[in-house]
This record gives sequence, C-alpha cells and structure tokens, in this order.
Amino acid sequence: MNNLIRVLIADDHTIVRTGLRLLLKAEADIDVVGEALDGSEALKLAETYHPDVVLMDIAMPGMDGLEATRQIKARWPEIKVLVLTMHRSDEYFFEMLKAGASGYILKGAETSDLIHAVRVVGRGEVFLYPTMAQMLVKDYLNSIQWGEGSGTSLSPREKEILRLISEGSSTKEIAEKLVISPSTVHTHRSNLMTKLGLNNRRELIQYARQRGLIPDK
Amino acid sequence: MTVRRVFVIWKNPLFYESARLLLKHPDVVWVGAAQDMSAVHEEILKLQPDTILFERTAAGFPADLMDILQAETWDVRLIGLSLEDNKINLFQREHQTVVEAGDLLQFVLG
Repeated sequence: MNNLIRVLIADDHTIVRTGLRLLLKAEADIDVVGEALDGSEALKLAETYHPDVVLMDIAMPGMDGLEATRQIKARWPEIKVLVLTMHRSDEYFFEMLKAGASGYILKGAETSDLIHAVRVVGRGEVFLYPTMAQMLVKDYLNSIQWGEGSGTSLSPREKEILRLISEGSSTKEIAEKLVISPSTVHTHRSNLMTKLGLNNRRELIQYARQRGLIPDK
Repeated sequence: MTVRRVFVIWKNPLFYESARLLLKHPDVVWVGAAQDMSAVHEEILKLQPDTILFERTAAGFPADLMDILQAETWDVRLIGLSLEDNKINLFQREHQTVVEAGDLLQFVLG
C-alpha cells in the first residue's frame, strides 16, 4: 500500500508494547516495523528500519524518550515522533516538543484517538491531545500577556512587581510585601521600564492593563 | 485444558484493548468487563469468574476486590497489571480440605 505508515514502538512496558503492536497491526494502513525497550534501542531500530513514526514513551530505563527524540530528530529529521505517555505534566510536554516531537498523546486516551494520532503524525501534521493543546494555548497566551512574544523576557520577580505596581501599590508597600528594600524595588522598576520600552509608572500601569494583568476600570 | 472465565476491570482504554487482544485464546472466555470499580461487585458475585484481571492504579489495591477475595463462595484469582510498570500482582483464593495434620505442611510447601 502506498500510504502505509511504518511505525516503531519504543516503550519499556511489555504489555503496552505488545498491546500497541496488536492494536496497530489490525489497521490496514499501519505497519509496526519494530519494538524497542528503551531509547538506545529505538535509535538503533530507527537507523535500521527508518520508520515514518516513532511511538515514543518518555520514562524508559537508560536513554529516556526525551534524549532519544533529540537524537532521532538530529540524525533523521524526516522521522516523526509521537509521544505516548502517562505524563500530563507541562514540563515533559514542552521538553518533548522542544526536542522535536510532532505529537503528544496520553496512554489514557481512547484507542481510536491513538490510531488517529498515528495517522495525523504519519501525514506530517501535528497531533496534540486536547488537554495538552489547551496547555500549549495557555502558555502561548501567557507569553503574549507578558510581552515575551516580542523577545522581551521578564523575570518572575519583575512580573510580580509589575502586577503590584498595576494594583496601585507604592514602592514602600511593594518592598514590605516582598521583603526587599525600596531601592531594590526601584531597580526592578527601572529594569522593567527599560525592557518594555516604557518611561514612567503611568505607562507601566497602562501596559499591564492592555495585557489583562489588571482589570479595566 | 480448563477454560478460564475472565472478568476485566480497567481504567485506561489502552489497557482494555491490550487485554482483549492478548487474551484471545480458545481456553479463555471473557465473561465481562467494567471501567467503574464501584459498580462491579454484584456483577462479579453473580458471574463468579475464575480470574479477575484488574488495572492497577495509583489508588492501590481496590477494597472491593479484597472483599471478593475473602468471600467464601468460590476460588478466584486476581491479577493486577499497570500501564506504568512491568509488575504483575497475583492474589489467589484457593479452598483445600485438611484430611491429615500433615496436610498443612504440604500446603505450605505447595
């Protein structure tokens, strides 16, 4: 079949691996070309079989799924990695995306969704499990809100001080709340204005309001 | 070979599908399955399966299954599996009749 999707499964859990193989092999357009017990074996089998999609677990003994994904994408960028994991944490999610994964699905997903995800990633598109997609959107909106989309990166302390300024706290009040000296507050405020290209307190408040950090009056 | 009557309790669809595919065998009869542990007690008592395969989760060993294991009615084996590790947990209730005092030692020795 021309559109056959060749899949390599990398998972250290025997039952999961075998169940996945049987599940995917029942699909006419999907072929399981290999099974790896860890990241190192996934690399070897990727080199041997050159699959279209690697169905990759994250937590594996030895080389984990994160490192294996980095190495596979560095050596064979055309191979797609679909993460299949129990982990819902944003830390794993963003790290796997940065490593080059094209999809992320949870082991708790419906099996029909899992098969669909393999097809989507096999076509060269991106598949994100709905809860993970929400996480990505939230992170994106957060970055826009804090002006990070334009290359401006505020430290957590600067964000905190901007919020307090926006709420109307004075320098003395901010210093007391954060248990720092007023001069440190001044320094942070100065850095904020420099980073954001603003000139005074009024502009800082306006900036925060425009990005929804404080409600409109 | 004796036909084994199996009941499956699952949380994740992948567990259910994997079990269904892996247990396809002429000597295995799938008598029932349920996703909600709280609703299966009566059904299991009615069906009296030989084996209950359950998905182990972070919540630990289901208390309802312990009740079933302690029931006096039939011999049953519980098999716990998880999608998170390769451990397989076996719990078994088996009735034996003591004829002689030495049977105890034999039961211990297996």
